[in-house]
Amino acid sequence: MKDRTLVCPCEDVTTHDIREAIDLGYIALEPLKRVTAVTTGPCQGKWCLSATIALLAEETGQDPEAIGGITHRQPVRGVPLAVLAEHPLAHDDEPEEEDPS
Amino acid sequence: MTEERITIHWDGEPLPARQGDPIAVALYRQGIKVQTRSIKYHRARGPQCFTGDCPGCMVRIDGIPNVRGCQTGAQDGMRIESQIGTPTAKNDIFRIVDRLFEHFDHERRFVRPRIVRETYQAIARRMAGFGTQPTDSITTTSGEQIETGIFIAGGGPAGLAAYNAVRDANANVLIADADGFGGQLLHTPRSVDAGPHGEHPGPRLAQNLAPPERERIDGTVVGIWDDIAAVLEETPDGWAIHTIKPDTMIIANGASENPAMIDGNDRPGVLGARAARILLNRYRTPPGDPLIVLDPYREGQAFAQEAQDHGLTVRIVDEAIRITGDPAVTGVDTPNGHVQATAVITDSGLTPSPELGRQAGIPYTYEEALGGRTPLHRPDGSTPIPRVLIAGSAAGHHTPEAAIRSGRWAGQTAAGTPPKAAAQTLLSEGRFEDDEEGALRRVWRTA
Ligand code: FES
Repeated sequence: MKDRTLVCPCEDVTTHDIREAIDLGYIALEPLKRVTAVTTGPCQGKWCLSATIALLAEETGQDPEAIGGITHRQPVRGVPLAVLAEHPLAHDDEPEEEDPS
Repeated sequence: MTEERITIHWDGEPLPARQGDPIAVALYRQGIKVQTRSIKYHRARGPQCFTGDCPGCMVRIDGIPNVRGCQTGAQDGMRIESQIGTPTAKNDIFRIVDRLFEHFDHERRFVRPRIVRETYQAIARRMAGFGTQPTDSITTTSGEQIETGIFIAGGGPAGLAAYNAVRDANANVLIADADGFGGQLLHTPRSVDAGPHGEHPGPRLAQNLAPPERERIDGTVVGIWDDIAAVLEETPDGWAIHTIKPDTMIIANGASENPAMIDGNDRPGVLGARAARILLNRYRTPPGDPLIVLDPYREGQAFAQEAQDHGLTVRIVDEAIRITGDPAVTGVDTPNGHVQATAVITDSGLTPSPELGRQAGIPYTYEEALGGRTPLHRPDGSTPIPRVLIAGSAAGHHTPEAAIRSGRWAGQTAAGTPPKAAAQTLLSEGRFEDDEEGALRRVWRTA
């Protein structure tokens, strides 16, 4: 295997990829996330978010406080859709009568 | 303890395992460190955290894809397959990709024209290995809608201490944890000073503080929507989502371990220090021998000591250039030459898990000494959000002593009997480092 330093092993994002994106001007967390896919894999940022913020702060000189964080959406762990569909609330806003069109 | 009584099947090969040990642990125990591949470069990958926070243990079990092997107990006859890698993770023909491409930007290349994009995407998806349809179905059952006085999300030392404090105050309480209740206590063999709960080795303390069945849910909190928490539980009738609507919520969902930024940090056999402690102390499985511990801090030092107590050869390396090995770890290159090992333990610290805190609306600040993003809270566990408290590692109180005390204060506050001298006791008994103390004081002041 090649020598690589992985920031995000889910999406195979390396320190090189992050630095390259920063050079292109992606110095805010959300755009950086969109252009490199960092924090968007199956770990949902649990493994890589802190490392990303630290690297971004180091490379750009920004205050990590100002860099902020990402939006952590529910569910925070993998949930099979079939389980969600079973919950009574999942049927709350179903229409009373189906529109036949 | 060491008896292997059941048989599991890994890519068709029968292997002995211990009933209930997580799949990722059972495989690692049998010397199988390569358990999957990465989706882009097809690099060999294995478990790195044992807490559900990395992509290294995702496998297909009995026809169901994308199951986390470190969160799933081994059962006799289970058919486990590596899901990325053709034909298997071990013999993956696409591992050549890692050698061919120096860098490959999959978000920006092959985007135009459309026909190129579509062709590329179709190939890439197949190569990545995700998305193969299930060939079996999981059993599901309808969850419950529960109202309670106090709900505690997470059953580590902080959650358990909070639970016991609420109990003492006779309030209505429910606590959820999917990992056997105990959190870090389960991999802390040393004696932990738990104040009024006495001084005991971690696992014993976890037992003493454990909630009875009627007040607990053996499930994971998967999200908070306004004042409702959703919990995923595997019940005897199948998987279910419960919704909990409490008057007050205590968030105690712990912390995530951080990766070390060094070449080769993803090689199978590179483990975080907490992961290594879980493997060694909780599951009696040596991560390797000889072992390298890279630049140890609190968790790494504890592991190094525990590994030596188990008779393992531990090599401390403070300056490393790269981690070597293909596919699994063989050692570390240092300025003074190569140091050999079968596992490399890194220690980049813990970061408070921000998911539930943020969903509950708690503002976060940045305190490097506490692990980075830290929720604003006060010594009594309260936060700027009414009826939402936070405690333990999730609030940056990473030692078991600190977690227990902050959990206790949060429990008392939630039950309407606020603690006295909470800050003072927490700081004097919580085993904080000086820089952590300073950071905590700043967080408390801001909140
Ligand atoms: S998620 Fe299972 S080992 Fe990291």
